[in-house]
Amino acid sequence: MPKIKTLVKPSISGKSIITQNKERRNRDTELLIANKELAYQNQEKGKRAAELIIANKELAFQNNEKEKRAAELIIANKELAFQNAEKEKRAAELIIANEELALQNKEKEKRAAKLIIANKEFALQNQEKEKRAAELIIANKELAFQNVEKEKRAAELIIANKELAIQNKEKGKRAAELIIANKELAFQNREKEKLADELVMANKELAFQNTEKEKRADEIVRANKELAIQNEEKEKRAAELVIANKKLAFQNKEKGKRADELVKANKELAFQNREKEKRADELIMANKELAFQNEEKENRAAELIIANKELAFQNSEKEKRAAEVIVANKELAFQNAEKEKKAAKLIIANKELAFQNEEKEKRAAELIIANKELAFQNKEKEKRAAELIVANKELFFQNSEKEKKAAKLIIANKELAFQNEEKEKRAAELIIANKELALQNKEKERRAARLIIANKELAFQNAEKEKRAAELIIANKELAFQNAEKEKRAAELNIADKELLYQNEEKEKRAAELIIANKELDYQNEEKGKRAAELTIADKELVYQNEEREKRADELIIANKELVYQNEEKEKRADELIIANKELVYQNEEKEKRAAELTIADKELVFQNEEKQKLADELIVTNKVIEDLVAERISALRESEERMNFFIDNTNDYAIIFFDVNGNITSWNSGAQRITLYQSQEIIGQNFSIFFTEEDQQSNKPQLLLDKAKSEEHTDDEGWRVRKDGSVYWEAVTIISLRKVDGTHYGFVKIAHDLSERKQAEEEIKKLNETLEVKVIERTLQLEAANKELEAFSYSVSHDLRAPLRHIGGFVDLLIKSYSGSLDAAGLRYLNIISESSVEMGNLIDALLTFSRFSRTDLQRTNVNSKNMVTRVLKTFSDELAGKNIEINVLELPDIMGDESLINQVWVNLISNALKYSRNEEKSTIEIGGKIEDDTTIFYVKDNGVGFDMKYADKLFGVFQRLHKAKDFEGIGIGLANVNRIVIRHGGKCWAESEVGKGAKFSFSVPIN
Amino acid sequence: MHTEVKRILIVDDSPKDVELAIAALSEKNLANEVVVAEDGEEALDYLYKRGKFVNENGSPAVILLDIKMPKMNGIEVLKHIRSDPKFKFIPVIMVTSSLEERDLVESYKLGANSYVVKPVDIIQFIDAIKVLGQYWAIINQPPPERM
Repeated sequence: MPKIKTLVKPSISGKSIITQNKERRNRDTELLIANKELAYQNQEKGKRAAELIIANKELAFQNNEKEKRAAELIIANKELAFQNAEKEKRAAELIIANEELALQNKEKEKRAAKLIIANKEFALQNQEKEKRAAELIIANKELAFQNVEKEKRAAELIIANKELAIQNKEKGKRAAELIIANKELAFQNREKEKLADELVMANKELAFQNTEKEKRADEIVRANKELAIQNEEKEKRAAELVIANKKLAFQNKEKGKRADELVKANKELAFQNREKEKRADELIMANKELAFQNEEKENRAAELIIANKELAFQNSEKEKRAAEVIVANKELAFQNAEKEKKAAKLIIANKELAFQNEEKEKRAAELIIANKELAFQNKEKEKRAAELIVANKELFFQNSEKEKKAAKLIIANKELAFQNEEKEKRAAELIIANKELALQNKEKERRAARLIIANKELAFQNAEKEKRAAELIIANKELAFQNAEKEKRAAELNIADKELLYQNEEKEKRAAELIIANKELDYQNEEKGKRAAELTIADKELVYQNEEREKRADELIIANKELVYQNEEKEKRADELIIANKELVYQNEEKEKRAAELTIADKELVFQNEEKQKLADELIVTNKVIEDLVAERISALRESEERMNFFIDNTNDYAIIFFDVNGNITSWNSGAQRITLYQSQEIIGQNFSIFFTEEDQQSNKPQLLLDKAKSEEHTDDEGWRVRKDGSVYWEAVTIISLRKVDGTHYGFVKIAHDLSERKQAEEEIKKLNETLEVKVIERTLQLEAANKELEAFSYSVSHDLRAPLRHIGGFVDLLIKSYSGSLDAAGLRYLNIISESSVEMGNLIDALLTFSRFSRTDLQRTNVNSKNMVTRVLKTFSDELAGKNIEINVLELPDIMGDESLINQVWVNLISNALKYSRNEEKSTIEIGGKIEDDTTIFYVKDNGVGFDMKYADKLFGVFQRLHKAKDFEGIGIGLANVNRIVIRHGGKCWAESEVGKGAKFSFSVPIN
Repeated sequence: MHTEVKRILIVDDSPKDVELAIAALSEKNLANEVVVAEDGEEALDYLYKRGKFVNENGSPAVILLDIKMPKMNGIEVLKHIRSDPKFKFIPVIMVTSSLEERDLVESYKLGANSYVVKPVDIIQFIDAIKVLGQYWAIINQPPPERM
């Protein structure tokens, strides 16, 4: 320190130090002030920075939360872009207007240049005119001088000049007005300049605003990027939420399904309970307790149903909420995606805006330049106007000097005035264009203001969205909380459901048995219903078939062949039935044989029984003898007893049982043991009623038998008895009363035989006979049905088959009758063949019908006087017989029992055959006879005709079977078939004997019974 | 007194049979008097002058009645005719496709005058219709002049 003091040189004076100090202080204060200002500025900057940060944060936050507003901004920007496009158009129009203005200005310049040239020429002309005026003055002076007499004329000229002066003065006024107009033009131009300046300022502001907008756009871009990041996070969270919600929804669905299943189960339970109620009602008397339990179950079931319905309702509500949350999240995600897109579009729109603004700035600059040029041109015009004024002044001066010559100038001035008017118009147009420009600028300002308002609205909407987002978050939290609560409830409900399920399972088990019973009932009812339905259908089908049959009647012509075929089939069936009947008869015979054999067996058994009875009788006798001998010959008794025991014990097929007067068993043999299965030690002492069935015991049969045996000494019985193992056997029994020698009754002996096998055989026969009867009835019914069908069929054939045939025949006959003239011999022959064939077919049908009628008509049996009948038949042939050499011998003919008309047919056929086949003989000899052999009456018709080969004898009685050619002997071969049929129906048979060329003998038999 | 035209009423549902019958009748110069009813109901319509015969001025002198017809068969028509005193005495000839005993018995029981089986051969049919000519002769009423 001291060194420093010493180092201080006092070289500087105090004043200078003070001055320096003052300066330093001043500088310090200035520095302080500067620092304070700086600090203040920094604080201000800090505040602004803080405000900016806050503003940015707000902006960022707003942007984060308000993606929709960005979309609106995009729309607004689009509108702006549209407006800018409009502005561009207008600017383009302005440019065009300016170009036109410039063009006009150029034209004005050209005109002005022309005017200058014109003015120079004028000036030159004026100089020349001055020269000429001077020459004229000289000439005039000479003239005035010369023309003193012509003073009057001069005076007149003066007056004319004075008038010219007045006119010039007026021209001066007009020039002054032109000057004023030009000044106004200048003033207007200045105004235009000011407006142009203002436009420039406005454009600069616009440029400034655009740069501001660009900055904001950049910030928005950044904010949007952040927003995008946040949105992605939100999307992730939303996706997680969606997954969580899906899980929740799935769980809720599962719960819903379980609830539904529970509801279904409960409904089934309810239904089953109702069923149980029904049954319980039926069982009320017996099962009151059951009914009470069922009621309780019903109550529980009802409560369960209600609980389950509530559960289902809650689950469905949960599902709905979950679905709404999912939808909300999806919408959020969708909005976020939309916001991202819009943000991207906004960025692009902002860039475009910036670009447009730059373009506008350029155009504004161009406009400024254009305006400057305009201003310059205006200045030039002013200058030119000023020059014109000077020129005019000079002109005025020249004019005032040269009033006479000025008249010629008037035209030039008028042209000038016209040009000025044109310029005025152009100036006015310029003013209008400038006004339009101002108007457009104002509109731009307004648009800028609207944009600011739109931005403010966006900010407000973003704040609203933030609030909504916050509310949504809170709502989601509440939802999550509610879901958690519901899950808890669902878990509790699940436990309750499980308990319920357990209870339901138990009930279901109980119900299941009932259900099975019900199903069986239902099934049976369904089966009945089906059968009823089938019956109904079958009835309808029957009705339908009946209708169809009517139709078919018309279609029968076509069906005829089928009918013939069916007829054959039916015949076959009838044959089969006959065979079946024969088989039945055979079976019956067999059974009869068996029955007979059984009867024989039975008889043998009876015989054996009788034999045994005899043996028993003999035994009794023996017994009596033994008894008689007891007293006398004890030793003999023992011997006899042993012999008897031996006999008894060895009679295995017979049960021999001794019992006392009360029926208690005292002894029995091995046969009894074999048949009854009881051991002797367990049966001795038992009452013999033990062998009887409960029914017999109840009707006191055992005692009644004993009583009868006692009173009548012995009795027989047959009946079912019971073995030890409960099985039954058919017993044929003889009970014999036992008496001592003195006649005192001391017991019984029962000799029984097991006839179970025989009994079974008998019952089998009985059963077989019963089934046989049933079968016979069935077959009879079938046969009757077949017969009825056959009858209906032949009736149908007789009518429907004949009708078309009749038509063929009838119309062919009419053709032959009426048109034979138009036909040649061959044609006529053909028609005759058709006619004959139709007649032939008619005969065949008739024959068939007759034949079938013989088969189905009921036999009306009466006593038939054969002799009378043959005589009558022969009379019917008397026409044929007349004039022929025929000998008919009718021998003895016994009366028979038979159907008169049918038997008559037999005689007609046989006699007509005999006449027919013997007619070629020189003398026909016919012999008709009959006789009774055993229980049969046999008739014959014998002729001496052509006869036949016996090897064809079996064909004789077949339908349409012929052994002779039609040209030799007419006929269709039905006669003998009819004869055979009729005879068979009467229980007899037909046969024929013959030799070719030696006549034939046809016989038939009719049983007398 | 009203004068009714006397007719031969053919009741048959088969137009071919009707034509054959008329052909047969023309042999006996009786064809002009024929009126045809196509089934039992029409036959009754003719008798009672109703339906399509409402303006009919004739009445049947003889009826040729087919048995097998749709709707109302010949036996039923015969029953009607014989049960109405107005028509009770009109001769009725049953004409049928085949000789069916029960039809024959039933027809005579109900008062049919004759029973003719339509033959396949028209000559036979003409013969069969002879019986009709006999009835016609008995009635012997000449047809009144046409209006």
